[in-house]
Amino acid sequence: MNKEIISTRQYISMIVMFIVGTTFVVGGQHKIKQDAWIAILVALIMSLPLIFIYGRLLRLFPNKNLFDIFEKVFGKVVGKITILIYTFYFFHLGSLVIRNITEFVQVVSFPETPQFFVALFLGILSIYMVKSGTEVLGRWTEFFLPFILFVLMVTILLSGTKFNFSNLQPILYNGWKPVISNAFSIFFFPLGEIVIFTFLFDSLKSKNSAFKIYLLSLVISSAIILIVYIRNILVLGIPNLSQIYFPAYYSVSLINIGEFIQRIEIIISIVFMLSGFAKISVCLLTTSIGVSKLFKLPDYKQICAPISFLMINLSIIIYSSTMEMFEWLEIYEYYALPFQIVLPLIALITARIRIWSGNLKVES
Amino acid sequence: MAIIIFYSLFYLTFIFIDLIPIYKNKQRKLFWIYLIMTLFSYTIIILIGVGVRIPSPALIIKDVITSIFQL
Repeated sequence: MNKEIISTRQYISMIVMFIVGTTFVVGGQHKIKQDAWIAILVALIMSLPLIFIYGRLLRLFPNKNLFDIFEKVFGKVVGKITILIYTFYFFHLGSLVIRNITEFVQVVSFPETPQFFVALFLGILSIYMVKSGTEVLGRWTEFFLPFILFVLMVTILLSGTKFNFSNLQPILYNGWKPVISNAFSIFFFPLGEIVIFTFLFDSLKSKNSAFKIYLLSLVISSAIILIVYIRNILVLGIPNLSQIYFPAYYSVSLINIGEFIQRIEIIISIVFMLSGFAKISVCLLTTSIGVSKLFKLPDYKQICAPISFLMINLSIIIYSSTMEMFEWLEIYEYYALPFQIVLPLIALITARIRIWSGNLKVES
Repeated sequence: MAIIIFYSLFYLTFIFIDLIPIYKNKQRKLFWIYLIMTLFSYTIIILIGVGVRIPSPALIIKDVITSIFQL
């Protein structure tokens, strides 16, 4: 199998589209409504040690992704178990994203259309994307990210007439404790999901510092999420935010300029679909790579189709209602903790100990 | 029933596109892994199509997490 190479710009585009992917769909359901924007900034600061851990691991083992690093650090048996655990995490994450998108489509646009129908076409497109390779995915995200940013900026400008700055007040009315608690939620979803890209780092053409790349990606993603959250608060206000499932969509639906520019929320739906599709494709890609590592298959592209169908199956059965989907967010931070923090930290500590004791050699 | 019909069409398509070339190339391990995964997912689709309620693993994970972290 030929090694696939992507540029730093394409890699960053993939990360940004991945992180903002479903944040606009299921994000924004925060208990501290008017202080959610402060929580995003705190979460960004909290993610710095996390990307430092990822950067150190990738620096110790250049030209390797985290699948290879786990096998090298933990040995064959424990390494394979760790790969299996992460493969399940990415598989589960992909199913969750498919369900988020299909739930969104059914609630806002096509209430009579069965979700399995939308999920099937999302899955098939993801198969096509993964079979085309990482390079095509990188070029695709590099092409569509400016469009997504342009749409978001235009909708923010157009919704300016609906801004009510008093919705941001009172700032820190309940103190810092709820803000820190909410920052943890944002840290795990969506910022901490950047862990998935440590499994694709070997595809990067230039060997820039992983820490700098991830930092830039997180700053861009956090800026986008911050701006959209503030817009939602300014337009909808606090009571509405707690009652609406998809605040980003409904805040754009209120745009009405001279009764000519109105009902443009369909553009937001397109943005959600594009970014959600990118997220599903990345999850399918990493799951396929994980499965190919586990079974020592020559090419991950050949196994992506059945994995995608299994992902669709899981997305259909995983929740019984939209409410259950949002309830899952409350425990997601506890579920993601071992994948995003614990296992990479253990790998880094184990690697350092083994290198220091001479049991492990690293390439310079 | 609609779900079974739609998914059957796509499963057949991918069997022709992917599985048969894999079999012709004599990639036995990949062939069996692909076949088992496809049959498993097709079985689940049929069960969903006939109305069988399949328990969600998310509930099991949620129960484990709430018991560990005492939520």
